[in-house]
Amino acid sequence: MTCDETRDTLSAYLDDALAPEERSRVDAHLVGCAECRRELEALRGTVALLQRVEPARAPVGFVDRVVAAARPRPWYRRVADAVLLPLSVKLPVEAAALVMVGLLAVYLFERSPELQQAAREVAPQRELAAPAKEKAVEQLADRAAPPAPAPSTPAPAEAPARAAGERDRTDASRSQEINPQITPSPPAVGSPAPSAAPAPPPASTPPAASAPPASTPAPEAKAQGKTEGAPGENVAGAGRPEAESRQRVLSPTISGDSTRAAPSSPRLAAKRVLSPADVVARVAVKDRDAAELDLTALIARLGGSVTQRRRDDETTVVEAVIPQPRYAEFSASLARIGSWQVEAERPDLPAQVHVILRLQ
Amino acid sequence: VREAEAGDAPRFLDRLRAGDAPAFEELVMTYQHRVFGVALRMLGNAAEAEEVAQEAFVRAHRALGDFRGDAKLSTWLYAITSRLCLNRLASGERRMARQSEDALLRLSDAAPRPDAALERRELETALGRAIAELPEDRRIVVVLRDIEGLSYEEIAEALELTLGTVRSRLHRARADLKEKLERFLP
Repeated sequence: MTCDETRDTLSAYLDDALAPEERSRVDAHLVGCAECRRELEALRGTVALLQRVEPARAPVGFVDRVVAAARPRPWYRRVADAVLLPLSVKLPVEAAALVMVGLLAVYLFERSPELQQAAREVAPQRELAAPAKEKAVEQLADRAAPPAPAPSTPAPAEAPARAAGERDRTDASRSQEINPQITPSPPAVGSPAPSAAPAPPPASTPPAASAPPASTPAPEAKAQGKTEGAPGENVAGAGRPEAESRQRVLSPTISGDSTRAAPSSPRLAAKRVLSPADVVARVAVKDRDAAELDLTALIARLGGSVTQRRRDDETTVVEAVIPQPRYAEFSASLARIGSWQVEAERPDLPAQVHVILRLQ
Repeated sequence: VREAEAGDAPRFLDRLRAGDAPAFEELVMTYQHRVFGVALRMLGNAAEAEEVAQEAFVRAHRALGDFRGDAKLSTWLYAITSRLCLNRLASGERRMARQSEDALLRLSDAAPRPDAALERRELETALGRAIAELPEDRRIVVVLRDIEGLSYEEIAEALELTLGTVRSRLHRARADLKEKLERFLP
């Protein structure tokens, strides 16, 4: 037996895994070959080293994880896994859905009757805002008011947008369609005395309906392919057929109780479009009386004038006209009176900025 | 010191085959360290080893109904584990081969015994590295034989090799290790 042959068997020799006759041949070789004996000892030492290797320990909790993984999964989990998409697909889809829901909520809110009503309730406050024009308006309204909807008579508006649209005489006949829905309603709120007009409910956000285009949600504008224009600033304001037609689309929805609450006097309605607010803001204050005083002083200091003030249990409404150059100063100083929040603001302010502030 | 062999007692096997949950849990408890140890030595990475060890038990769980019992349970589990390890090593995840060295280094470094001499840690490191450097088909044989203590016959059965092949692979593996660990030998 050669040294090479012997060495190939040494490992098995160590393990006592050789057949007896092979083992005796190796023994015989080892007796006479010191080199192969050294080789055998080195191998033996190597195996001893290996056997000193620290046995590995499975990590803590391994058994539980295995048992859980091996447990047959209930049928509904398998179904769910089959149905549900992987996260990489789900996340973008969910995000998109969230955005859609948000847009839908804005869209519906914009169109809800409550909102329309809120817009109507803000409107009475406006008629006093521009007293200078009132007379002209009254004349116009007087013409418009007579008996029933004559073909050329502008229909009483439910909202400034509508009223603005009415100025477009080409729409007069169409206005008629709406008129009957509105006129029968008794003017519960619509007494000509503006001070009797209810304070706008704090929760509602009137500006949305009468707001500048900035507040119009994109989808709506796209869907209708038109912008909801701001209501005309005064009677002479350009007619807005778009607003008119849109209003008509909506009228079935809003002709319910909201119509009943609406002032139905055409005269009042016409006046209402006189001077829509340029800025509507809510001011949270600690002391309404003190705030009102401060506010009056501020307005006077800036060369503006308070056109109306009303109060009820929760809200003090102050309407005022501020010269446009001092408006920035006004808004800065207002922050000292209370924390205020603009609910609507016309992007391009006129020379006399008409503001409605609700102190709460 | 390994746990006592969970008896291959006929009753235990029957319970396993019948899908008895406590019996399976007992099986995992008994063999977890051995199955994990083989995977760790083969893959050199604890996270991957746990994954493979778990997979081995899950497969065993599925196949228990077909387990005939003519091999020892332990040998059968070693067979499943070895196959999974070799498949994984062959499946193109060769980057693991590179990582395994480092991982084994960390592994041995991470477990210094309180009284460990520097030499001891050095040895552990050298051992881990030397094992990781062996070709996989020899590595599995030497791991099963010298670390897990299987007999030639059990190794042959688990790896579906002839006794001669086991013998020669084991010998080459040991000879290789002897070269690398020479300075630690007496």
